[in-house]
Amino acid sequence: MSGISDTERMITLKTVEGTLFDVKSSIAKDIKTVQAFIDDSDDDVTSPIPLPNVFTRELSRILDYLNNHHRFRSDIEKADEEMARYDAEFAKSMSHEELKALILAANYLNVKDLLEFLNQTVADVIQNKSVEFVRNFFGIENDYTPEEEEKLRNENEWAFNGVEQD
Amino acid sequence: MRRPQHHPLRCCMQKNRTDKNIHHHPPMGGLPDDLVIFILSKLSSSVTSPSDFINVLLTCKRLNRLALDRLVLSKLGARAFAVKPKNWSDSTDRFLRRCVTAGNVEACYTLGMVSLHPPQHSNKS
Repeated sequence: MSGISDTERMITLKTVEGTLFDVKSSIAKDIKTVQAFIDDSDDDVTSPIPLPNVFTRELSRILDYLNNHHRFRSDIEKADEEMARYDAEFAKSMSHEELKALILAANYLNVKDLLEFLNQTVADVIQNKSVEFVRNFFGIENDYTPEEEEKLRNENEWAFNGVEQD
Repeated sequence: MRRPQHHPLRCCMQKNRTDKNIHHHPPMGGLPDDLVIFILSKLSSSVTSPSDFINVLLTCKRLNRLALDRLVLSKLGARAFAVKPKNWSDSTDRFLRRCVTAGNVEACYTLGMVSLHPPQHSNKS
């Protein structure tokens, strides 16, 4: 074990494109996939850790998120308020495609809080939306035959007539 | 104990992927089943009406299957079961029973209330 110096140890991560990111080891702890790699190497990581599934755009966003959350947490007084504001901006800044790409990256890197947050964001986006909107969001095609769809709609009619109206 | 074989990065480095959990992204915006279920269970706990959730079932077969996963059904909130008595049907009943089986307490409660105060024009027996 190397001694702990006053400057925090840095870990280097390498994206698919080959971009290198230097990350504080305290931040790397929140990236479970990376931390497991470090643990497996008995803390002896000298060369960049390759992330063969993660692109530069996503990694830079994830590190942004983690860095900011670490910063918020160090300032307990206004942590919640600022974090909520930051999170809302963060969610708004992404297109649907970017959001999905980020979910895949956060899942692969196993960043639990961020994944929770992103999935909640998607749930909020698709809530109260039309069937067509949800299809577009997930990029899916209707694979029901007209007969199947008709049957399904009839079966579930109860759910559509129940809206409270005065 | 070190178990490098379970480590995603190690797997890649060994160029020898046997991990069955690595998804080769199917349609649906590239999101694998487990993540879609994760998202849908977030949705189900915050739906504001039955149609909010049932809409998902109508999108496509895969989403229909995933939305009926136990994990998703168990988290459905009370408002997903806010059905007017006049709209109650056999399929409402089936849907609620399915939710009960998934361990949904709200569905249990709703079914219990319905059995005490049966819908006015229940055709059954």
